[in-house]
Amino acid sequence: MSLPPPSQHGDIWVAFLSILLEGIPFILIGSLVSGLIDAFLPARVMDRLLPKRGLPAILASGLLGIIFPVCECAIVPVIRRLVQKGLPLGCAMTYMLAAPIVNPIVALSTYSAFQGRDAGMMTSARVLLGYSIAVLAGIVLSKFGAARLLQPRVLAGIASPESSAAAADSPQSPGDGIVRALRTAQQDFMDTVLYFVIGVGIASVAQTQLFYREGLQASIQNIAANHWLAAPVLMLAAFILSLCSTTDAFIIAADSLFAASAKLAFLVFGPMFDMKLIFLYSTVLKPKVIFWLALGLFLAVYLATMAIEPALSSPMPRP
Amino acid sequence: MKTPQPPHSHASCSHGCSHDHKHDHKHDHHDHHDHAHTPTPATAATDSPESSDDSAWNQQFLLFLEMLVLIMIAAVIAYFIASGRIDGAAPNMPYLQGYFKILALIGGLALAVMGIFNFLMRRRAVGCSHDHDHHDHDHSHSHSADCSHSHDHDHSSCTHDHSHQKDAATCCSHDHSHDHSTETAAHAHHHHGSPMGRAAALLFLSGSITAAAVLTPDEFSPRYMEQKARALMGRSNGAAPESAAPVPAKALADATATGSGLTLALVEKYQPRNKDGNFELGVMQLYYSGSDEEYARVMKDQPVETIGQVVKDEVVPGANRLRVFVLQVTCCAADARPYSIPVVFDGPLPEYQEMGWYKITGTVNYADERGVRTAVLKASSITPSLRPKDQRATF
Repeated sequence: MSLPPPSQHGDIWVAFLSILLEGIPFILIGSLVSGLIDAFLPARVMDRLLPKRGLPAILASGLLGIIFPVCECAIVPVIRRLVQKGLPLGCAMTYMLAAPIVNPIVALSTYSAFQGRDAGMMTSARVLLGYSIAVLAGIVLSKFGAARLLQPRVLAGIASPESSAAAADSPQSPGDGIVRALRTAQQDFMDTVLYFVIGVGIASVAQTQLFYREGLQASIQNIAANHWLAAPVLMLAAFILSLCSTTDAFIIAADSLFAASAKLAFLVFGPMFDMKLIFLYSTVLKPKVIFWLALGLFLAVYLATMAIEPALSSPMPRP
Repeated sequence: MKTPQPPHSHASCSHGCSHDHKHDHKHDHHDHHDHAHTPTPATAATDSPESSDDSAWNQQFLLFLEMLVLIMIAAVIAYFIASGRIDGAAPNMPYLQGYFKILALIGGLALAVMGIFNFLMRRRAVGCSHDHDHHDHDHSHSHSADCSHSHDHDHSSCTHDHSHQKDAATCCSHDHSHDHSTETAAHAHHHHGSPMGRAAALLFLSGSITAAAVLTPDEFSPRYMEQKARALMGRSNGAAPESAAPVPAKALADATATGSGLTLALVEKYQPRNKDGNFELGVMQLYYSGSDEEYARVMKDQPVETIGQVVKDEVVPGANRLRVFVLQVTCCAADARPYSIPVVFDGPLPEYQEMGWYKITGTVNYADERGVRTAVLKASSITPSLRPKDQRATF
């Protein structure tokens, strides 16, 4: 069998297949965890684990990624399941946004990618900003009711207190638990991977057909020198490239064109919001909520990176 | 709330009904559901036992399809890895790099196992620990109105029904003795839209992956590589990743052990010269050689040869300057970046073709470029070359 010759539309397939193959194992991991939670974690157990009051609970949720380190593809099915298990929405959203950044694997990869380039500062800035913004988003979102935020079908699956009591009453053999966990895992995987494929498809078209065009790149390079626009441009790049949070630092660390604060914006915004995530989030959240979340995260990351810019080693040129 | 569905969708009657109970019980949709729609005789009449059998059959068939799709994904991954196509057709441009390949293989196999397991276990009823909150609910919705209204909101909220086992048809014939605490795969848990919708989703999924596997050329077009290379050229600096460590780890270990520091003899021991007396180094190795001070000191003025693609140097423009680069993937092909070093000639530039592959021979030197110590190749010759089959091996 001979391969098709390289072509402009062939570029889309190469990018599509490579991101897909990279992401599928992580979506499976997330789905399996979701299945295990569904089968073995009694509903409402999260209530007992987390602090009772709203704010401490949200603050604690932002740190859950340390115990359970996952990237952004894997976290979405887990969050959907945890919400249905009764995890308060503010906590769930904070965990979802923070986990891909506030976790040891990502911290380690960020540190090694930036080695020799102020790695300690860059890594701690990334983790701190990611945490703070995720907490902020969690606090804001917790002010709204679940009915206004969640997709109806997620809402429909939320366990009520009575049901958890019923579940605790019905004994379950480990074998049943495994069957049930894998059943749920497959269901979650099929759901999530469908949206992932759509997101990756669009991202592949955008980056092979659009992003590296000479004219566009020429303007990006001009913008890179602009104090105010560099960060938004890299955030846009993070959005289009849809990289995994465990590897994105390697892609951007080596770039000598952009200032450290713009790279930081790239590293904080990307794991929280990108093209593939729009579609993954839509398995949990209503489209309107995703839109406002995007806008809020964009502004928050931009303002935060501009604010801490003086602390970073290679400041942007002043206007 | 919604317009009644056409008769063909009545297969999901049982799911819809049991679900309604839960919703009516828990949520405030209740009012909308209960009285909004008057069932037409035709609707009620089509809710026959056969339709519930259809539903069960649909669910089983969908599980079967899911298994096939999962096995297909696994097969595509396994094929790309087994055939070596995962490494791409162009040098340095694999679909997946390093351990991501292993991860993909394990993930693929796990997918197939999961699909087969779930299909084989489809009849097994297991305790369902969530949203069976209708134990104490009155199930005697004895008129067929319930049935038809259940269809009406099938797509909006009917996504989590944990329905009755085998007595699906009883939805409309008001025998509610079913056991709500168990479910089988074929009868429940698959409630994300209609069977048709889910089949379409599976078709889309398998179709797009098949299309990608069949239509991919395994390498980017020269046009795209050039666009990307030019856009990012000269924008890389920083420490070497493990894969491109400039000095073989053993040489460094020896140097540390003897306490003598790195010497040319040690470098030669682990990085032998070719018959012409040149070190054969990849562009990546040369590129990163500047980041290790000791290695740069030892390598300065040594004869080397390297193979890469050549373009005019636009990073530091000059009449006698070219740039040799390779694209390098960190994790997946979509993240490929060019890594380049300047090539300087004594006299005017020789004839060359932009983006062509060349073998360049010369000596290494180091210069400051944008504040970073960078390897510069003082070229003595440049000859057209086939692109290396696998430059990864040289890292």
